[in-house]
Amino acid sequence: MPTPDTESLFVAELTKAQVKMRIYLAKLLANSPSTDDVLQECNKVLWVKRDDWDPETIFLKWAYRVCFFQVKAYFRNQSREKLVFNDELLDILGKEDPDQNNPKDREIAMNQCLGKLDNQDRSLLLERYQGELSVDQLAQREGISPNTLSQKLLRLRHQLLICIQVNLKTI
Amino acid sequence: MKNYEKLVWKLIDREISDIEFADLQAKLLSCKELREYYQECLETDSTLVSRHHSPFLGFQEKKTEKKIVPFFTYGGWAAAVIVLFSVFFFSHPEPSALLVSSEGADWRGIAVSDGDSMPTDMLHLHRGAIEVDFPSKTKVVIEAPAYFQISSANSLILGQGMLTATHEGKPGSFSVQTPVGSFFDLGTQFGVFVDHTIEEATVITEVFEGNIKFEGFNKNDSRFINEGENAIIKGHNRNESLKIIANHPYAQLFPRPNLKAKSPTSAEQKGLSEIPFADARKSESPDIDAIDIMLDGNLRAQINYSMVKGIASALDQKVKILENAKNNYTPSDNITFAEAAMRQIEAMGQSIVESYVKFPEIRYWEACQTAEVIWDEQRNEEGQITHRIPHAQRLKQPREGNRLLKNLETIREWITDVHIIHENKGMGWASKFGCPEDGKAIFDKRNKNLLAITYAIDSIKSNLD
Repeated sequence: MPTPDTESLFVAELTKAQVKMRIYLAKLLANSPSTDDVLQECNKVLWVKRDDWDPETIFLKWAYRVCFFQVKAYFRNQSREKLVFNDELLDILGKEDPDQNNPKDREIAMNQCLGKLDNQDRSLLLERYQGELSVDQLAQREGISPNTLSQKLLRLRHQLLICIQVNLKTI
Repeated sequence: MKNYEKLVWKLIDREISDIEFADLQAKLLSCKELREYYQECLETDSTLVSRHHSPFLGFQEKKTEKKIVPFFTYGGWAAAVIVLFSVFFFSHPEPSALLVSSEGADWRGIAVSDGDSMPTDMLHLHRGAIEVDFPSKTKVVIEAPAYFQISSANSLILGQGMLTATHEGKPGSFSVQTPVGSFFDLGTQFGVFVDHTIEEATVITEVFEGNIKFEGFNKNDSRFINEGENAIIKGHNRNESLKIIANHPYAQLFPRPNLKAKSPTSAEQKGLSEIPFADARKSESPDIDAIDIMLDGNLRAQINYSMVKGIASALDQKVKILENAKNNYTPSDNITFAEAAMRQIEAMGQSIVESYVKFPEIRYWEACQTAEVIWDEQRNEEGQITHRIPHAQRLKQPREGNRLLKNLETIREWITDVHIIHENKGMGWASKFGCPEDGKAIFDKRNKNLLAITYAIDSIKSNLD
């Protein structure tokens, strides 16, 4: 039976792990729209199994294992899911260590990199993530085809990613 | 950018074709670098979607009512899950409550449509409000952000959020369960607000009409609350007694019996709850700092806190001079205040960035007011106060306090204004001789200062120990 102290510690660890768990799940689920629902299931399972967690061990490692098996269970029950990795790739992706950087550092690095983009590109990228306008609507407003806009957004995100990687080394 | 890297982004956007997916899958199997790239893309994507605030120019994000899954805060969700599970993990009977109507409802996880029966699962209403009818002749309006569960035909569990319940059925037949205990409606209208940190749950209730009964997990914590009364109830876990503060002027809730009734604006709330409370404190209480009470016995922290207060006061003095100047400024020749006061604003920014003080190390509770002084009073038989003992109580909503954090944000805003003007007027604008190269150097330096000030603000906000 966990004591109130270990329970508080568990809650703190679970809360802290949410962003990383979601990214891990998104990786295995090919960024499926159901990622948040699976995350919810994982949280439930982790809570039910909280007695199994040893506070001396790394919480995330244990959480990732639970997430991995929840993804497998999800794929078993969801035949409608269109993009499903095969078991071999799923096993490899599940075992590989996710990113070790602190999300806060990544955010700082990203802010610096966004500052390096020109205004128009930056606005476009942020509008895409703001979610008010679809790619088609954005393309129409910009007077370009949706395909051209998609290509531009791919290029901008790639550029941002490379810049973040460089910046993270200096933070 | 290589072809497979493009496919990774297409996968993340879910715009990949079956053939492309098969191709990418084969490549991911054999190429570790591509798998690392996939990981990096997801990290970048996640950072972009979870970005709520930016220090940069023109980055103000508009609020959206559209259902977009990525905008999501995970921590609060997990905390709410834990509260719900730790307190009420049990099986439920069939539901029969009905979602009558909704207003801008944005659900996470399970979504419920107007006219549907409410499921018994835990639900997360991210934005908007809903109106639910229970068979017990109870109407409940739940306002986001809320985590709740319809536990039976005549009860619900509120893990986080705000509700107004109007009960016209048999007294005692409807209840609201919260992390600190249950509220039983005795034929009335009442509001419940639930919030919590990892360590502590706070529930505020107010009875608008009639009366209710509150039952804590410990029998000693039970009590009746009558019309016009309110209570703040705080608790850590089932084994400890609750802390109940009755009729606190800061604990006012606002009834919303149906979706046609609007929530009060923040200004209205402020007018009704914060200002009278502030005035009452002023007239009755000597000037005692809640943080000093909390730091009792830690001399080092007390001295540090006094020094921060000194710095905050000095900064506030200078910012107020500029604020006054701004209020009295009349623009002429289309010259805005930021443009006219550019030198002073730049100087202020530099004083932060090149300061003797390490601003990013200042703690959140040192830079704004996170606690207030509450007085425990003892009265004699005639009702006269015989003892008053101050103690500190954390504020649910921090206030400006010594304005250190607020002033840093104001300075950042001014510098941002100058930066926008500079950008619009061309690089030569900030140079004495109109030289674009000099102007660009000033622009870049200011951008760095903006980043540093933003970093300081973000760091202070994260220094929560």
